[in-house]
Amino acid sequence: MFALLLQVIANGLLIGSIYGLAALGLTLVWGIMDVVNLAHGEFILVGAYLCYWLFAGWGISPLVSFALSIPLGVLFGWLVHVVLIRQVVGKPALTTLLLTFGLSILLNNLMLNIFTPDVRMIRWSQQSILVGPLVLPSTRLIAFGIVLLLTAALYLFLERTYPGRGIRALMQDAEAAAALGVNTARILLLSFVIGTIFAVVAGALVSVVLPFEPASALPLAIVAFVVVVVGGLGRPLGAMLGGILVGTVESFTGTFISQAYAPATVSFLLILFLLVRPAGLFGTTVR
Amino acid sequence: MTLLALCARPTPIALLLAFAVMALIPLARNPELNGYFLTLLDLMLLTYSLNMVVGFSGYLSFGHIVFWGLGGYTAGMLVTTIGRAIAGELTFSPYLLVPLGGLVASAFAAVIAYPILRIRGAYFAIATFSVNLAVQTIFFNVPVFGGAEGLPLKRFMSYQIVPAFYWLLAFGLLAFLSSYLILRIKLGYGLLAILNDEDVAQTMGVNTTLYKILIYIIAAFFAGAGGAVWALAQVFVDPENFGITRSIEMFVAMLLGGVGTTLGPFIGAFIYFAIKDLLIIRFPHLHLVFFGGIIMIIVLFVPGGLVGALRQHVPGLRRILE
Amino acid sequence: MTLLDVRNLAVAYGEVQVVWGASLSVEEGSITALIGSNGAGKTTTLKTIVGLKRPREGEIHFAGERIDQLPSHRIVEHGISMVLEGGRPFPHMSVIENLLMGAYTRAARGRTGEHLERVFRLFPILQERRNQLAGTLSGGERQMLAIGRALMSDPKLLMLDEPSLGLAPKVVEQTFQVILELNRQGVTILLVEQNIQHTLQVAHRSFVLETGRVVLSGGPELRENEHVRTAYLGMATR
Repeated sequence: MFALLLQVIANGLLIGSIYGLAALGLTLVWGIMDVVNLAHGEFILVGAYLCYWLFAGWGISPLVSFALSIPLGVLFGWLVHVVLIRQVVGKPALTTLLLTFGLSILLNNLMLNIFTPDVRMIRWSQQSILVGPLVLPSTRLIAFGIVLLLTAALYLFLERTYPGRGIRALMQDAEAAAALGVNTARILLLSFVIGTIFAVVAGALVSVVLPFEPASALPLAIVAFVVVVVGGLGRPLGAMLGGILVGTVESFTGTFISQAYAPATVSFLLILFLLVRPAGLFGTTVR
Repeated sequence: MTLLALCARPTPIALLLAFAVMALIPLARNPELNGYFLTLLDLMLLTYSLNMVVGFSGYLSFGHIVFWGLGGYTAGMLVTTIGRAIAGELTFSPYLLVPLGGLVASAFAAVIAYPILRIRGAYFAIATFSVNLAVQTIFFNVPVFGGAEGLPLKRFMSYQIVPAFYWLLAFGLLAFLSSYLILRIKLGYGLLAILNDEDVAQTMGVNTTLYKILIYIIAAFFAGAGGAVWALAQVFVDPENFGITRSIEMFVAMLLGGVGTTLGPFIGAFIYFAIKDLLIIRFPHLHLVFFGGIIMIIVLFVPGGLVGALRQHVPGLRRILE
Repeated sequence: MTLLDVRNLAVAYGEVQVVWGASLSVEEGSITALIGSNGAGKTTTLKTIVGLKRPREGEIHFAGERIDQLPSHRIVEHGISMVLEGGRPFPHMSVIENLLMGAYTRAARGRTGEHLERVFRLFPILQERRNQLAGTLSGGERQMLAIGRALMSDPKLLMLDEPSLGLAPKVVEQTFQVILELNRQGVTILLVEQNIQHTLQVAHRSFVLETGRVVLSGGPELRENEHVRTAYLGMATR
């Protein structure tokens, strides 16, 4: 029993860290420009399909795709921001939500047409590492390592560089930041691009550890939303811890109740948090 | 102001006429035509329901389809339960159960309204999304509700499209008249205040909580009734009744017609089907891609939809279109 | 030499016009004050100068260049720095991070060491609290941090919006001392204040703004002006 419990926690941790990475992108964009990207699930799938397409079609190792998903995220994020998001920053939630809802429908059905509704899964490495009673699949460990690496990189970027501090400043007081010479438009673009990179990379990681299909966009997006709410809006560290929490809850539900109820449990968690602790586990302010 | 006096205005007269003309459709005895308008009327009813919440109060009810699905399952469960009890086909028209579908949806709305309507903006939208997902999961997995297979109703009732059509026509008209009336009573003014600025409305003494809950319950009724008719017309209900496609359709129809207007859902449903027919011929698999694009174009360039754009650009129509 | 020249400035928030053709100028090396009652348009004028608001009409020239159509980050690069009302340091950033935010412009980034030293000389308390979160500072310290942060870009013109608002009398006195000291170091100051008594004492030139228009301007002799005495000083001596 104890071994099983440990295994469930380990699974939750490894998958949850990927959720955390996906949510990092969402929380950054949401926190800084008050734009909730309902197409975030599709953004994640962009990375998943890149990885799958390169692997299945050309035999290219997912490790290469992980690296390639970064420039793809830059390009994709830049394009979406310049064409769409830029136009609605500061508009009411109704406008931004409907716009990104439209984008999500467009992208999702494009994926359905291009990649078909079939469930995909990359069978890349079947090896597992045994640690005591724990079975840790090597793909999940690699994904976990990449999550840690990227999270650390984002942390350093936000803490140690001028543009990174600019992002945090803009989140805390946009007018004061502008008065100090922060180029607001550029910071917004930068945040959206970073958010997109994280979504796309998270998707590439998803593709090696979980089965996915175009219809996965919605549950993935909901998981990311829950993680943002649990971790507190605009808090990168909170998103990572929230991701691990959500991953663990999902893992427990899947093991001890039924895999079928995992999405519903996540939804309940979301509603519970919105009602009881809207600022998240670690937050103190309500926005 | 009596209801009669209100109906003397151009918009209600035009719509009453339009509904009267549509009532003639089944006389053509063309099953294909009946089916087409059944789908259209169902979407129209659903759009009226969505518009009451999104258009009137500004609360983005993204999981609105949950009420439609609940209405469908209510009708389905009642038909199978009664059918099993009497071991055969229902002895009365199953469509008499339609109002119950609406009532169950309203009851569900009433239960979740107070907690969920305290959440605002994007959080509300996502919360309603999750409610729908959670409810769908339950219907998908609980055997009583037929699980993924759903509930086939064939054993207990026969396929009858004409009564379904008239029930939808009646509820569509009722939804329009309710929308029209709501905007002219205290409830409508309260909702308008919430739409503009809920905090200001509260400080002015508007009972925002009450109004939000009321409109949510009313809207849920129409969606539930529409879902019930749909389930009975299909003689079948399954978890797809909570699915994303119908969700998308009602948002597109609402946006095309004009958010927050009483004419919008009617016009929007017609434009939606016109565009859909055009797209499906040319791009059988890509039509939803285009609808995603259409949503974005409307949001960016024509936020008022057709009714809004006409009101803005043709001053003569401003008083007529509502 | 005139460092800042504002001509016929008109600014509106949506439909509501707040500034109606205000003109004022700031001489290089001076302390210039903009005084007036609440809602007279003082804050709006400063925000428009630094580019946080767009003017509806009028021109703003700084050091001979027209700046009223530039985005705020370009204006800050030209050498204008503004301390917003209440200072508004970033609460979840440490003192040192707040100061570094003040050196955000490209030109300032290369010289942070030198500018930090200057700020710490001026406000030793900030050096003590360098790793403390700004949200935990006292009101006076927050104001010092805001002024220090604005100095990190080494501005030619420092604009302060109500720096003494809500501070204890002793801290108000310190703030005015700092303003005088900075001016001695060669920083041109444009000061918005409601503490008019005090302001008229330190300002070389003052402009009186009423309902969005400059109705009066002059040197320290304004203290003797009948209108100023009845309308402002009577109220100002609390």
